[in-house]
Amino acid sequence: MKSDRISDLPWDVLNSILLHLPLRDAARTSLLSRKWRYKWASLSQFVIDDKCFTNSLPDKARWGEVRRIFHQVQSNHCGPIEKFKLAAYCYPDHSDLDEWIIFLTLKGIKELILQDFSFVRRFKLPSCLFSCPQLICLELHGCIVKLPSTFRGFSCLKSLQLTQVSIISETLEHLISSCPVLERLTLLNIDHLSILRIHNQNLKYLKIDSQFEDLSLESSPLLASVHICMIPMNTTMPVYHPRQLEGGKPSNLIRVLGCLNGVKKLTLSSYFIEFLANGNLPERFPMPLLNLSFLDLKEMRFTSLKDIAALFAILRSAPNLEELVISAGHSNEVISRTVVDFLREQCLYDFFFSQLKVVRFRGLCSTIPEWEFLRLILAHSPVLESLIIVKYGIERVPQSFLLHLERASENLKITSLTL
Amino acid sequence: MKSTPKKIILRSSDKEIFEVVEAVAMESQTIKNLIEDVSSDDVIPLDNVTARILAKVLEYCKKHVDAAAANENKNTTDDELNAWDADFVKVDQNTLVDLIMAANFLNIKSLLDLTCKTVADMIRGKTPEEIRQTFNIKNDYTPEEEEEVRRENQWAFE
Repeated sequence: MKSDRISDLPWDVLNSILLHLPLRDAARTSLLSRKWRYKWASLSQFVIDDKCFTNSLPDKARWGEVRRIFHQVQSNHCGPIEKFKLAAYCYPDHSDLDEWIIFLTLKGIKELILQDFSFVRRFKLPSCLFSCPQLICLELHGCIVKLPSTFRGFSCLKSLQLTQVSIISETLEHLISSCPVLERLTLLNIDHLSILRIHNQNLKYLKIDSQFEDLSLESSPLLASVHICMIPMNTTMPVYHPRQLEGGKPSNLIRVLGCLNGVKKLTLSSYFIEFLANGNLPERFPMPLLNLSFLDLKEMRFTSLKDIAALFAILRSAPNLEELVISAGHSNEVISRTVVDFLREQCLYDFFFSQLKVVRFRGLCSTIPEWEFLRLILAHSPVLESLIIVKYGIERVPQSFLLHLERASENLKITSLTL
Repeated sequence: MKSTPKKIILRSSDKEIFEVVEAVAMESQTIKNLIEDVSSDDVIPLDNVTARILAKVLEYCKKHVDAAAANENKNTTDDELNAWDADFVKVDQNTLVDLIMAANFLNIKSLLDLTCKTVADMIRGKTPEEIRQTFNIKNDYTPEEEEEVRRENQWAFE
């Protein structure tokens, strides 16, 4: 005869089972029997997202239901809460959210993800969150971050992601440098940053897609992956140009990126390249980027001599580069002869991309500088295996043209696609 | 001269003896900790696991150890292992619960995850009455209590 073996399973096992379910299904177990009424409210993780609610419930009514969830959990929960994620389109009541976060900090929260989409009034985080000792992962979207004067850092924090938060530069700097085991830092669309200072010895992964006036990175020996997109400060201008440095000043390229000795993956956007290219550009970095194996340049402007010169300063400093990805940026600027001359000149140099195996080129506009660049790559890459060119528009790159380019590699496969 | 892999001797609750290579036994954190404390020639008693279940657990561990080794030579894919796992848990409910308890006691994370996920799949998307029937859970709510529970968790039942 079949017996009920599920209801009496040890709690950590039941917790593991119910955590594989969306919160909605877990909460429905409350109806199974008296024993089951509050099991769901004692789980170690809660994810409140759009899947919790039916389509018939209007967004504005959702918070009332979220309040119910908070109430059930606060009344019946035993043990720790390790993870909480709020990612539902709703209109949070800030005092409810405040009370809930205080509750979570008392429950030893390790992973907190808060996405407040309403934006009418930004949610100011309660200061008790900043004395949360066990926090390992923090992801905030659309909040106001102010550190209390008692802030001593997050001693366990490994991952920090801030999206569209209100935070001042000094606070951000202090926050980042006060997390001794921080490995991953992601900053997206932060409001009004002047100087972005990222000083943390332990950092392994850095992604920035934000507005800032200046950037200061520290030599972090473990920093392996860096992704920086700089958003123009003043979008009322048709074309943004970063503030030009006084003549004679050393370039931003070395000042900002020169410390990235250990970096393996580097992704840069066009405005950021323009910012880096400011000042006197050297031929190469004082210390070569020996570990750089992957370079991705977004919206590369082949019309700008400075940007191209900056690109070559990086390429000359990266002898172990294996993969190069470029998406070409469109520009209405007239192509100057100097860009083309510069590229042709590079061909005469006796250097090789001795480890380069893959090149992907997107958004080819078929301008002369782009062709000169490809010609250069092909002639100087003895182990190149794959070149993929993606062109937007109707006509493909004529195969004949590609096949006639001199190539240093014997095993090269060229793929040409059009979108 | 090739050295023979070290063997570990396990004894189930019903006194059956199982001999396995060390790598397979070490999939269990519990056994791993015991091996480090106990002399290698001793029999390790597992009083919470019957022979029938222990045999299955060891089959799982061996498969995963072999797959990891083959993966280094890229001889198997994740898909094959996932398919094998899916077949492995096609057992009656009693055996499934026994496997969960064994995986919990022996501290074999991947097996615990697999078996818990299987039970979760048996709950997902079902009505409370369907779930009760699947697991033979007796409904001891009065109709008034049921109504109360539905109301307090309205959002989940709409």
